[in-house]
Amino acid sequence: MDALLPSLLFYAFAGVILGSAAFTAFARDIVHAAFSLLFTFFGLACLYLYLGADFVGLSQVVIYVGGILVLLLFGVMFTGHQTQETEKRTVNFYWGLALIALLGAGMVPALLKAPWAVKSAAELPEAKSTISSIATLLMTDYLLPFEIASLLLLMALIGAVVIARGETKTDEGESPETSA
Amino acid sequence: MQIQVPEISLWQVLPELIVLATAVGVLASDLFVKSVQRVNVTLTATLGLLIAFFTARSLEASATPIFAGMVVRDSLSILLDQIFLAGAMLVTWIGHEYARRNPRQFPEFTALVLFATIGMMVIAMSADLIPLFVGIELLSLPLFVLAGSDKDRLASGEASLKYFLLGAFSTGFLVYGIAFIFGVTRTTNLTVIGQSLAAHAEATPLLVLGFALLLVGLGFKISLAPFHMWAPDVYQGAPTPATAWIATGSKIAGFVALMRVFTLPDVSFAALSDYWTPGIWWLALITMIIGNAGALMQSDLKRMLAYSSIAHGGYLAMAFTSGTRIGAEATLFYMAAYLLMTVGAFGVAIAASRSGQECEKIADLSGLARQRPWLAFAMSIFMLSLAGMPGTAGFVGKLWLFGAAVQAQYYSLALIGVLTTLLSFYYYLRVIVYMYVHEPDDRLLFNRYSFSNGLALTVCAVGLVGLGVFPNLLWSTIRLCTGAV
Amino acid sequence: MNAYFWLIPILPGLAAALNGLAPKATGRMAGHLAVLAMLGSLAISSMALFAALTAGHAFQPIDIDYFTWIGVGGLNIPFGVYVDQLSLVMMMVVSFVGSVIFIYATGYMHGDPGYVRFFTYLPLFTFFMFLLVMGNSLPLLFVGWEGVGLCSYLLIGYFYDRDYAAAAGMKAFIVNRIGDFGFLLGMLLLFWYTGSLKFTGLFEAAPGVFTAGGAVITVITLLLFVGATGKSAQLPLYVWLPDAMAGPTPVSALIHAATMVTAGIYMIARLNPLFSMAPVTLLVVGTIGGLTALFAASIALVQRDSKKILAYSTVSQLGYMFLALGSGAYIAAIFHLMTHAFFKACLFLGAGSVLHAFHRDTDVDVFEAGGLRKYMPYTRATFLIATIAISGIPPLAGFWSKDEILWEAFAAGRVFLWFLGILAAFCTAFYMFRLYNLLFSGEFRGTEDQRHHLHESPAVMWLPLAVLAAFSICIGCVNMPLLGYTGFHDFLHPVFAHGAAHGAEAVEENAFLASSFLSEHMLEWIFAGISVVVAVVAILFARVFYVWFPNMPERMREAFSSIHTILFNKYYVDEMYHAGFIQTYFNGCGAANWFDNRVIIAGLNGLANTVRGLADRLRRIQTGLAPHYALGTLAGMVFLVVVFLLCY
Repeated sequence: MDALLPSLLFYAFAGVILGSAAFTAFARDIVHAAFSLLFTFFGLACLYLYLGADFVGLSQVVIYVGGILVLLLFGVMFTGHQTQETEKRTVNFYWGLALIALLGAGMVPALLKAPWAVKSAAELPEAKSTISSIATLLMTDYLLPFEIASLLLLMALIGAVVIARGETKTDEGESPETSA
Repeated sequence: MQIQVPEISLWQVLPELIVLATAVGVLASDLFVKSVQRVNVTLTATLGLLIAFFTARSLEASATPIFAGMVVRDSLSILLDQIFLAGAMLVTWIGHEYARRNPRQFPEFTALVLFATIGMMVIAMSADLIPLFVGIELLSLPLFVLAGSDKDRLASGEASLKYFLLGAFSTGFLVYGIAFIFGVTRTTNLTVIGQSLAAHAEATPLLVLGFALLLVGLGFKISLAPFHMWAPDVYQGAPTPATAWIATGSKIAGFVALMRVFTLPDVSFAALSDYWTPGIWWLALITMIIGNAGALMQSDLKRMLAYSSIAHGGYLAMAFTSGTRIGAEATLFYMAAYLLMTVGAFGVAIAASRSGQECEKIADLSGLARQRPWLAFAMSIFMLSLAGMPGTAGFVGKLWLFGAAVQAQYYSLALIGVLTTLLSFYYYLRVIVYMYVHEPDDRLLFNRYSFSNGLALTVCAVGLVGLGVFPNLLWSTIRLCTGAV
Repeated sequence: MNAYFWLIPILPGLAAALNGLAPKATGRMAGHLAVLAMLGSLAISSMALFAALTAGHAFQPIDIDYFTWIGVGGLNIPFGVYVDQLSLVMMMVVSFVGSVIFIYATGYMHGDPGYVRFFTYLPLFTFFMFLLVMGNSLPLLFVGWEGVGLCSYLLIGYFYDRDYAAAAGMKAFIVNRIGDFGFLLGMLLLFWYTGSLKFTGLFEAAPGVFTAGGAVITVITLLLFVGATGKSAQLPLYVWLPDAMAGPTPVSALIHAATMVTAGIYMIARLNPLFSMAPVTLLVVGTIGGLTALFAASIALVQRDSKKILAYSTVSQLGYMFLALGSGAYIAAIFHLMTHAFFKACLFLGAGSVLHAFHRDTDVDVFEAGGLRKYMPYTRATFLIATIAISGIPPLAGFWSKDEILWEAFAAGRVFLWFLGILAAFCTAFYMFRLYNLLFSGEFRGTEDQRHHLHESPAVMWLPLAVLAAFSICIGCVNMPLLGYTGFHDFLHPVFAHGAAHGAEAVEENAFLASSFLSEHMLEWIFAGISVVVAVVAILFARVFYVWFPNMPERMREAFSSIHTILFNKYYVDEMYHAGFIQTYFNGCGAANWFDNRVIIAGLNGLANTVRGLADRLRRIQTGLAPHYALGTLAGMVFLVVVFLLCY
């Protein structure tokens, strides 16, 4: 019973994730697909929490559900007034399925047989919030990647502005002969 | 709680910081200066890149990782920094020329090029999969934007979108691969991985899957077939200076990432080369064939160069597959040569515009030799070097690439390489024939090209011939990087 | 002296650079600049030759490394020159014939819109040609090899606005690629086995690495020979040379007769220590050479375009040189190379002079000409001298070199090759005099308008012709074994002694020769006599058919009006000549033509179509739809996983 409940929980979450993801992929209505994505994100957050990764789980909800998904829905609402049926399935669909099947046939056995570097129950740290240890790591070992990631965000911001800005700047009135 | 803060050696990443400061400065100038002169932007960028270049030169190489093992300032990263900085400078110069006709968002253009450069430099010094991944993202994002920065042309937006979608798709594979590797090794640190492999080299199916996924992600960056399909569309659609940087910087950085992950002895998966070589072997084979066959019948100059770039990725991958020191040396040398000839070729494509008409088709170069003999001459050097004509760096580089393949006993690969190279003479020489032999289609004159573009082309052409005649100039430095005295 | 060697290629290179990069500045001086550069090279080459001649046996090959060109680990390729007797002969041929042709070209190309372009490519060509013959390593030779190929390609397509010129350029390019592929493979294999590509290192290492007559050296030399067949237009890769006549005539004379096409012969002679170790290869070389000599000569018999006839003649003469190489008679091959350069250049320039009179760039039907001796006395005289020289009539140059080849082939036991050679010699004399007779003898057959414009070429064109004709007469005197003088042979001997010492018994003794009751010298005389008789008979035939015969029917009808039989006989001979000789030939040439079109060309086209098909299919995969690309990525992923797991 002790072992059964966690397993049951895991499979329940996994089922939700897979089911909603499949619905997202196959749904013909883009709004339905976006809403279905909500369940995928939530399911993932639950899995994270279930694994004891509280910070990641919460971030998942805040960022993906609170940010990205809402943005996505706004985007859909603003651009497509009518719920537009996506195009008829192309040949891609079946090829894709076949390839995925092949890929699965290759990967699943490998995954099952893999000697995962798991820790035994005794090795696991006591259950407590991971926030402080993540913070410590980000400020020590992973300081440089953390900073580079912030640069990445800056970059994304600038990129978004460049792409979104519609107005055209006129030439600075510089004569073509002047050059570096 | 006691927190052990690792040493923060900012001096070691000074070149990156200088480029960052330049990029931010260029961007901010738009805010504070009322009317930014194009020439000032280019001058600032050039100055910053030059300072960074010489700072990088003066850095002392050390094999000990810094920043808690995240990055390493070895001679390889220093050399690559210089290559990237020089490349960024050339791209800025040819971009300056392009901006005269497309003046919009010019400071942003330069800043984006610089940001991408930082990403490349981060990749070059990564000793851990995490900074490697962040570096790749930092490199990709500006390039997505650059590809779509010409908003007058629909093709540019399409290129950007395609590049972004497929880039995101391949990034998924990359992260997935890193996760697998972490799952097996419990670490993302390449130094640690290398050390444990040195003690006990064994691969599990899961690790091998991780390799495959990493290869998909990085193979996309270097457009190895069949992950190359974005390249022709994006190269054609993107503004030409952006294309130049996508074709060179991004591709070289991709190879550097591969090198960091797979071939460096003792600090990568080099010990497991038996497991990862077959994959790259096949990719190299397919890429050489598809790249050259695709280029053969192209009438669009940028598309032809895209396929040519794919083909060159195949040649590089061929030498890379060997996993030997000579292979790594050949790859490094060819990267530098490839940078010069590709940036040069795109630079000519920018310079050879007629009034109100960009150079798009190969036929648009008709009669270039009559009106702009120097331009045609430089383009001939680039084409001959791309084809591997003796006397150019392209020949020396290819000689070593094939030599590395032969040394590793990849005879069939080398044979396909030589055959496709011979094939490639056809489409490279076609460009020369158009320039020298054909009359211009109409009586439109070619534009004057600016000093900055002329300078970039001169540097490229002189560099190619110089390296072709005196390859030892670069070779000795490269040998230092790969540990040979 | 030795310190100035680098100037020899650099001078024309400089002229090319100046003309190419500053065409407006040099303008009409472009030709003079090029000539000046060539004369400079000629002066230095002559001084070097003079120094070598005065040094005599004390002369040592000069090997100067200017700098390390490529230096990686075991691979060390210097950039330098290797000047021995062989290089000196080649340098002299290139610079001397080159200078003369350059001077001629300033007159011939005068007023052409592409004057500067022409004088950019031509000095560039000589630059690479000098590199080819002077380089001290195989890669450097290859640089020159590719460079002259590129220039030839550009110059064949000089009249780019004509479709056939562009097509001919393309054809030359493609066919040469096939040859170069063999060359490159051979070079890589050589490096693989010997670890050196420098000539000196190569020759030192070769005897230790290869077993004489072994499979490895045979394969390597055969691959190198494939390269030579491409560049020197031998069977089955000769097809590009006749088409290459689409270029301006000075180009045909310099590149496609005197210098570039002999690069294959030079290469084999240069690598003689290697080829001497592979008797099988030598047999192949000789056989291909002999067959080409006869094959091309037979085709030349029925051509109508003067430059085409000369082109097939060049192929045939190159075949002679390969025949000599294959018999181990390297010096005879080089000797013929040298004499051929003079008289064939003279013939081409003479043909060019005729074209000039017709105001055409290429292609004059010989049946439209005739009787030109009245209008162009100098051209006619020089053309006649060169024709006699190529036909092998003593004491002109061609006799000495061709006779030596035939004799050496026989003496080496290759009687079959000798037979091919003598047949080809007959054809050569016949078609050359047919050409001469049709051009210069008889009456003019063209239109009145053309006759009106006929004129002798200016002095700047006929003086070079005279110089070349003078050399065609006397250059043979450097080597007259019949008269007991073998100066040329002695001069070159040291180059080939090394290979002979280490080579296998490549060439067996001629049993007939060994058992003969006649002395060898006597036999030599007898064979020379046979050659001369064959040539004279051929010349008489040509005279009969093309000069005397057309007039005979009319005279006979006047004198013996009733004798039908003789008339019939005349026509019978005529018919027989047409039916038996030409028709058979047409059939034979038709077969050759069929082979040319169906096998060689179709093969090339098939290859091109396959590649094109592949490219087209690729283009269809490239749909432009991102989902398809993503699918491609996924397919690649699956492929990789399969490969990885299979290899795991």
